[in-house]
Amino acid sequence: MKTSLRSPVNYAVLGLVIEKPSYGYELLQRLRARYGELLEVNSPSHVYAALDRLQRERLIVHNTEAADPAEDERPVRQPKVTYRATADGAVVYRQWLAERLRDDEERIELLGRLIAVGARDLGALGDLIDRYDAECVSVSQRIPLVDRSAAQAGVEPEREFVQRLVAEERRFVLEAQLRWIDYAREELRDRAAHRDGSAGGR
Amino acid sequence: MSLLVFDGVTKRYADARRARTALDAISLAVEPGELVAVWGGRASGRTTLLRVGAGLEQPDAGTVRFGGVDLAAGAEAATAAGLAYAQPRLLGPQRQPLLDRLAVALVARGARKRDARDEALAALERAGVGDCAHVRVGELDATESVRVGIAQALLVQPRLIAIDEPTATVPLIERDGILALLRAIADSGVAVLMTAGEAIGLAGVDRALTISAGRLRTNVAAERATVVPLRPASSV
Repeated sequence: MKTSLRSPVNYAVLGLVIEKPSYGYELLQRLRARYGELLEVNSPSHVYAALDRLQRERLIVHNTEAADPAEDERPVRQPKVTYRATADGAVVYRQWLAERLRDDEERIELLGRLIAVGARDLGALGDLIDRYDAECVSVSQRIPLVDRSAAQAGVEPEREFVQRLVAEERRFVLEAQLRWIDYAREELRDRAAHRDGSAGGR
Repeated sequence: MSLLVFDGVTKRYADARRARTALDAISLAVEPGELVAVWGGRASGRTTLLRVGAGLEQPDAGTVRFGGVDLAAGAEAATAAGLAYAQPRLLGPQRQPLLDRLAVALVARGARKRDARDEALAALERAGVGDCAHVRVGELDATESVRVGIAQALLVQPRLIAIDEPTATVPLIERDGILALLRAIADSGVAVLMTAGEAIGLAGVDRALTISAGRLRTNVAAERATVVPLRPASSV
């Protein structure tokens, strides 16, 4: 499946429809609750534009049905239009997601150039590494600990389990970042030792 | 007053081919009830820092004071002042029941046998291994061994527990439980100084240090994370 939806809002809406068939206004609320400031959605028209686009691409379909009065206390005059995802929609979403999970090469290249400009000499690079270290460490410190003893009585709800498992990835990334920092310092020491011509190196 | 204070501590090791500086002019302080973790790679000096801090090794230069006592006086003085080093695993007879092993040490220090057993059981329960009381020492698994080491350290009514890489040997999904236990111990007022070979060991600590080639690089007291109970599904 090759589809380009460009805006992350389109994919976010698709993801929410996959998670649970919903009507337009409900999607707007769920989008705001789930993504907050991560995605800029200024007006409901953004969501409706996304829904139109997703329908044109046949990633979602809508069906019109009489609303369940118990679900909403206001008297409902119009039938609700509920959107649900197609099989293609699910495939496209997962594919896009996997691409996002992979490192973004452009971003890394940009970062590399920024570092090269910001650290023109080894002293500045060492300083940058120290700051990077402090950032990684304070993020590690803030990662919540899971107390399993509370869960003896049953099984964690599926949705919370998935969220927790995904959040865990960050810890492994931090681990790799700290390892690189350690390695970079070793390289800097090795280089400094060679330049000084001192015996007994590191 | 700070509980544990390193002041300009240097420690060197030498062998026939090279001299290595394990600790290079380290100064740091651990406050009462604080959970402090030191992250470092291999041969960074993290374990030496812990052992010198626990009074198990002496620095070549500088001083380490615990509750005002200079640890140059030796490990016994450190223990008397309330500094406990958590052993990674229990040595000695592996067929002895765990509770007996822990109680014997208390009896040796003058406790009555019955009180010693009660106290040892309470420490095991606090460390989350109350159900291991009647297991033989050699039958403990990796996670239980770490918890038992912590229970044994608690028996001396410490003001600080030093523990080397508590999560290194335990399965990945057991790590948080060990860290949450150390967090709870610190919250009860007993300071903890630990080393970590993995970033994961820094979760939930009050202060995180990184060490590289014997030098402290980072000393961060960030707003720490909380312990989140794994909530079971309400309907089963």
